[in-house]
Amino acid sequence: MAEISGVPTADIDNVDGFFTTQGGGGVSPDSLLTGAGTMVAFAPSIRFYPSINYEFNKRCYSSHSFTKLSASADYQVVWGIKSDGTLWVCAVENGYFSGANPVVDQDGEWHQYGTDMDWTDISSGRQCFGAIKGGAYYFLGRNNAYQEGNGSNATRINWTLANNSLTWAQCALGETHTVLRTSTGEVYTCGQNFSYATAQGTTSGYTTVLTREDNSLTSVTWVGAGNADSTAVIGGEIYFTGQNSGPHAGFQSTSQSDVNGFTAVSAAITDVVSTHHQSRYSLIAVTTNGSIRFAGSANSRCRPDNINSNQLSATNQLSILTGAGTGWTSFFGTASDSSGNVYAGVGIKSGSMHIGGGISQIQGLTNNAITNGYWSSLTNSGTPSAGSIGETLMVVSWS
Amino acid sequence: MVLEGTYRVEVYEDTDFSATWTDVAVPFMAWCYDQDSLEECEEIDGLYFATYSTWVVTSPQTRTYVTGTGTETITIPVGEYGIRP
Repeated sequence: MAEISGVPTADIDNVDGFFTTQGGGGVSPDSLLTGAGTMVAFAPSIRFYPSINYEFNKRCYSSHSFTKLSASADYQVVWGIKSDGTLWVCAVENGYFSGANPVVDQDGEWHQYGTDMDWTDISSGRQCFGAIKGGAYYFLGRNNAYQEGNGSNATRINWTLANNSLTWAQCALGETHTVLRTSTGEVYTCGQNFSYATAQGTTSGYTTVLTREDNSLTSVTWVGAGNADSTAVIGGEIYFTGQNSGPHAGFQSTSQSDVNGFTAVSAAITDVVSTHHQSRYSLIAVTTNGSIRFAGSANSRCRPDNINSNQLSATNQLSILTGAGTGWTSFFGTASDSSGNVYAGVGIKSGSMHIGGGISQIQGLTNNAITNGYWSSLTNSGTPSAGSIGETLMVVSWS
Repeated sequence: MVLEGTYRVEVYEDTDFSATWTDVAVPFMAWCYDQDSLEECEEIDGLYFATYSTWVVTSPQTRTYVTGTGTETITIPVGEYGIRP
């Protein structure tokens, strides 16, 4: 029987990094997508590494559709999960992060990773990814802050099983830390303890092994992770820990002090479904009726209502952005650079894909129809299904 | 209550700033220098000094961390953890 790395070819997906299927989708990059498919816009250069010459808009249209997408902050890499639970990747050449790049083809095409069909969640840190597969937590990328959470800080250039001793439901990777939610609603963290981001009661050193946060939260339905902060949602209420530089945690306070451990921010706000850490200085939450709550600093088109007023006071943090309307069913996160200063986002509102922020990426996705970065809808006859943004790429998908 | 203790130690050209150290009493943590390179360190008369913080536990702390097969719960007694060996 034919073998690769000692594994029968019939079971080839057990060979790390082996890609069984590939294909760009065959849609011309010169025509806008109509209906099902995915568009990826790669920015012409990495913001802080302009000497690297990337091929703008390379193969940004494909017929592949995804239900979850996660774009790397630093890498020119995006991973996607399809409705059948398969995992796919699209990347272009990225020579700067030598030694920490995932082992994937860098040709701007979508490639399937293995053949397993039980991938359910994916999230990206600055130079790493986390994913949930069959209830287990997998890790890929630079692990310098112990984001993998199994005691090692070795870089993983292939997806590596990090932990399967609990059943994991959601992963959220921040700048240098990781937040995981179990299927029973508990929260575990690992990574750099900077500013209490990991909610372990200390700002010193690293949490090297996934450890339950120190307030032993239960019934958590959502977790988020940002630059050096984390959130959890319980009963529609936000719990916050970490750096509160905005201030953006949502407390009825203008204090910018770090928050030591997951703390309920406002008993008056009980309608939150999901949180999205936009930058070091702001936080977005989607409510049960599809409104957007916002707290923090609002420069650089970070508010989906295209208003640049801050919401920093003791009374307006996490107030609803009435101008953004209702009907937001999904918000796929935002991106910032390592200093926390670049903003952009992707979301679905009333069955329409909405993008805003990073100008070059939005120009790419709209064939230069939108040049100012303002939040706008992307016209397509398909059903919006997923999106994501990194510092230098933006990706959206329709089914 | 938990606090941080800050230490200042001499470092050298061959110091590995990416290295971390552990404390057997806290098996789920590691510590490191605050600086990433000699250039970031304070220089005094040709000598270089890095800093790091420890975990000062002033009341017992209970933590649950994952293992290969499940979880382990330990109580960390009052003390200071993460002092560089």
